Amino acid sequence: MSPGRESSGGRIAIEGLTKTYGGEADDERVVAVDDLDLEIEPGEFVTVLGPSGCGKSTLLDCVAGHVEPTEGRVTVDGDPVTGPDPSRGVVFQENRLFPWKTVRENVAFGPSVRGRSTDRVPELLERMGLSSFADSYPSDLSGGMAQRAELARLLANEPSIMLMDEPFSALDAMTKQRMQVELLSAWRETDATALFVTHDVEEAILLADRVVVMTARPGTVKTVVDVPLERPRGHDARTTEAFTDLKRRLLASIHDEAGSEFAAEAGARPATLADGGDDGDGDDAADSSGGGGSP
Amino acid sequence: MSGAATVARVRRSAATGATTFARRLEAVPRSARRAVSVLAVFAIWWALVRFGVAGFAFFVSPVETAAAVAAHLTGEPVADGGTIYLHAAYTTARVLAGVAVAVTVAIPLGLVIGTQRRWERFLLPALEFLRPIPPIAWVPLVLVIFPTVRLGVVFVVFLGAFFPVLVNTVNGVRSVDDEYRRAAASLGAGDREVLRHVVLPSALPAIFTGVTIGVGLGWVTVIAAEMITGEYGLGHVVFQAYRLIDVESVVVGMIAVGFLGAASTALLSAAVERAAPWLEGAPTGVTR
Repeated sequence: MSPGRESSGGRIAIEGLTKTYGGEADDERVVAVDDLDLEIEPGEFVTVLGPSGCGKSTLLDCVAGHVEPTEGRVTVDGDPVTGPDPSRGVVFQENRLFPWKTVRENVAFGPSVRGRSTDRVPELLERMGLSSFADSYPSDLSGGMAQRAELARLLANEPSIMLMDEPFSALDAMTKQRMQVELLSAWRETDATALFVTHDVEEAILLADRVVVMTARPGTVKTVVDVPLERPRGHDARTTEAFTDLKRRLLASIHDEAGSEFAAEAGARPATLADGGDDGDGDDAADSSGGGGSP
Repeated sequence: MSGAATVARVRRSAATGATTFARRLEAVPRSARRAVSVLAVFAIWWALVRFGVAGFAFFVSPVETAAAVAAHLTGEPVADGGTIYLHAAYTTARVLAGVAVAVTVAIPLGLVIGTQRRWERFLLPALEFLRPIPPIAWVPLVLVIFPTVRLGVVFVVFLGAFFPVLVNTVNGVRSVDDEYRRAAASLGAGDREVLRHVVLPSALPAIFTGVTIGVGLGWVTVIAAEMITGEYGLGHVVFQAYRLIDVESVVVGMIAVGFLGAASTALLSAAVERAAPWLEGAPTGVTR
């Protein structure tokens, strides 16, 4: 909590959130999120961990205001979410930098369309190591740089809530780990509440105060785990006993979830996540990083 | 951070190194290819005349034409009067005026039709009915309703350029990625900012395609209209020379149209590169 910041973290309350997609008939409908309750404290960092297709992105879209809940509601500091708002910044898996604007113009976009000062933009570009790319177009950036620019664009708006939908899942393993630590230090300079969706167990632990494990079809909360690691956290946090303990517990929990369909068929629970955690959609990043840590 | 910055710098220099190399590789053969392409046209023309293929025996060869072009370029009057410069100026002015009006009307209209369903239902059926009518078919009507022939020709050019710009603008606006709208909305942009900062720039490549096609059709329609309406202009020159059996002047007029059309395309591409630098490296022209 740094003093002098205008923004302060928002309290997110998700109450009985249900989102279904598809047709009129019951058998044509897909329940993405089913009667989900979750409260997130101001300034808290919560990661939502779950297999692909468990509705975690839908959950995030509902908080962002991009998707309207079928039932239930999302409130921020007591006010219902009815649409997108600059107080709730979003970073997506694929960068959504405007290709027709330079990096500087992209980062300054929020404050400038809202008629606010863009004085912080150079500092943010510097902070994210993008100063020498300020006048480049997004097509000239690497994946990691593009996500840093996205993060800078979000921070320029000084949001009270940061929403992130697997922002690092398209990056290579090294870049991803560096970005996670950079995100943590950038977040610590704000008072913002963070909601971060991922299918990577290590990422979920490293970033979060609390990890919310989601179940697939229908998507709802399976368990919530506190992360007792001290902040600030760096790369060395990954090797602490508390971290590996937590990882083991979460892997077991996910196994149980994603593996249940396969396990039922095979008649046995798979021993590693590489076998059981892959739900067949090609998201290998989490599986390979998780597989190495399995006993 | 210094480590990351170094990596970034190395990446960048490697990238620019690669592009300059590719450019150098491309530059030489491309200009050579262009020269070959133009020369081939003249070679085929010369051969057709030389060997008297079909009616080409009665046609002028490139050599005689070159002399005629030189004479006209130094101010010798064409057909029934006026220098080639005067006629070219009339034709160019008509294309510019017609296309300018078309672009000014079609782009805003396209933005409205592309973004607002209500207006689409209201406006599109009428436009779809008018679109298939060839601009040239309007000439008789235009001669009646417009006070001057000059204004009438500009209107016909406008018709030729209007629909390509409109249709491409509508398509461009409709194909804007919703994710960019969402991102803009989450950053605090309202409808007007989304239109200005997301919809318009995102549709710009399609709009440029429309304008490029529009300018091309502008040249087509202006020549046809001038053939019918007479007065000044390259279309009038070509048709008048044909009536006077002045084959050389026919060809001079054709060459002038070809040159001006190609020049306007080149100018347009240069303008696009300035107006939309982020499209650098994207293929130019209508296929963009």
